[in-house]
Amino acid sequence: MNGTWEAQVRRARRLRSMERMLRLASPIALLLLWECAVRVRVLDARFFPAPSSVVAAALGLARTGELWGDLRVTLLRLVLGFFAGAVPGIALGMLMGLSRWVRAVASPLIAALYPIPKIAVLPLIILIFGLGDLSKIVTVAIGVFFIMAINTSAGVLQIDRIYLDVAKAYGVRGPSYVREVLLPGALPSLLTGAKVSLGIALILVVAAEFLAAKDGLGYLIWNGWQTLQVEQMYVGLVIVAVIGYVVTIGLEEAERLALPWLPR
Amino acid sequence: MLDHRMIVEAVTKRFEDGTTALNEVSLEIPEGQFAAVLGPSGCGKTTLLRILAGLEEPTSGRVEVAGDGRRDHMAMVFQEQSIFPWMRVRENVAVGLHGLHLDRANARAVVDEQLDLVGLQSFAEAYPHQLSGGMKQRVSIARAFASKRSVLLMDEPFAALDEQTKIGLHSELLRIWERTRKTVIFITHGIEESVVLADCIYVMTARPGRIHACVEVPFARPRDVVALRGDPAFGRLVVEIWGLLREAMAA
Repeated sequence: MNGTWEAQVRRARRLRSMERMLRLASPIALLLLWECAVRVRVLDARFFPAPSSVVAAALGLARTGELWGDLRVTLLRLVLGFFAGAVPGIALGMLMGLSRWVRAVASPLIAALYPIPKIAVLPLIILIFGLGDLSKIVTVAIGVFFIMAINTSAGVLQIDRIYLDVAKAYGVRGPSYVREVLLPGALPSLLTGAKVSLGIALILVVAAEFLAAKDGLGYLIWNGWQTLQVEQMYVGLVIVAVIGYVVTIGLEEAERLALPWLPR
Repeated sequence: MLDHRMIVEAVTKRFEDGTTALNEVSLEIPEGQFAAVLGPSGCGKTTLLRILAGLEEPTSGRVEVAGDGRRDHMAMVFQEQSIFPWMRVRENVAVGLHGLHLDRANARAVVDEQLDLVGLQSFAEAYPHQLSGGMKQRVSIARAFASKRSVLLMDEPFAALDEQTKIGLHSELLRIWERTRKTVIFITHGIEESVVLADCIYVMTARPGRIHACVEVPFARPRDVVALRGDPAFGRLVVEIWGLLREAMAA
């Protein structure tokens, strides 16, 4: 390497901040491209309205309060569904990682049930849980549950044997075994599961609202299309994308904080 | 005070695939002895140590310390990197304190003392990925000594280190050991290493492992690990043990 140590540190910092800038800049660049394409009539504004008119529509919906109501309802379903699925999913994943018997019982069931599209069982879920918030929450929870169970058990199983030996040799058992060895050892895989399942949860909540809701962002999108208010549909789509973006960025930052021990 | 003599009686280990790793190994290691177990690769040394540590059960035979059948007299230092990557150095050393039921202040004092002894006080808050291989093994040694257990089991703890680091750690290990004189069982395939460190060297045969010979190391303590290498008696002992090892490999 050339240059002094200080110069190298500066260079490394510059590369890191450039990486962050690019993360912010790439969606903005896409929006600009889209706006231009509509202005020069490469895209048909009836079906692909320019971002500026989508923003105008969003402001209109925000003024009437409609947007906030839908956003709040969807976020509530998303968050409650996520936790309702993640907590038992992590617990089952831990048990599967710990016990070959639990693994023998649970893994064929998971292998069979996981690939069933959750939306395909929405009629059943509505039959059991009704048309209210609960059916949407349950749909999200089921999707999250499987992913978290799979990722947690994989995370526990990939913990290096040596660490289990150390725990055994020094009598680390019971709750401290879970807290000091299993959870931190499985945490990287668990957080990856959280990222994946939050994305899936967002897809599921919107899809469920398409089919069986009178509010929420999914309803906003579907209703916009049905009533030929295409801008309204785009408002819904963009907000879903923004939620996905914020959640992913937030989780990546959380990962950085939760795993200070990983070399980067 | 109990007698912490370690007795290994006719321990045999046969694995599921039918290979016999150990064949009727018997040892009696008096309290406070630094014993080295020397043998060719794959002779079952590590299996023996894992049985002593209670990590594996013997197919037949018996292991006893202090005559009470318990296994929590042993503190193990592993061959590979074995400190938890998700714990700071301080927390890793504190793993050795499990089961001692110390209060916070006492636990902290013990950890600080051990970190001081291995010269890692200034790395107490570091994570393992910030340490060199030699420093990681020092953490592992500090963890073992912090446990206050009476028998130290060491499985080729310096095998992965370069020569300078290894010699430095030999002298550190002896210095720390002099303070407590715990019983040590040190597995190695290094002849010089075993002569430098041990009171007594048990030479094992190739698989299935048996004890082939037992050699007393006459050098006075405390030892200077570098000066000792210049002693003509050191060279003679190394040659003698090399002869025994060759016999053991042929046996």
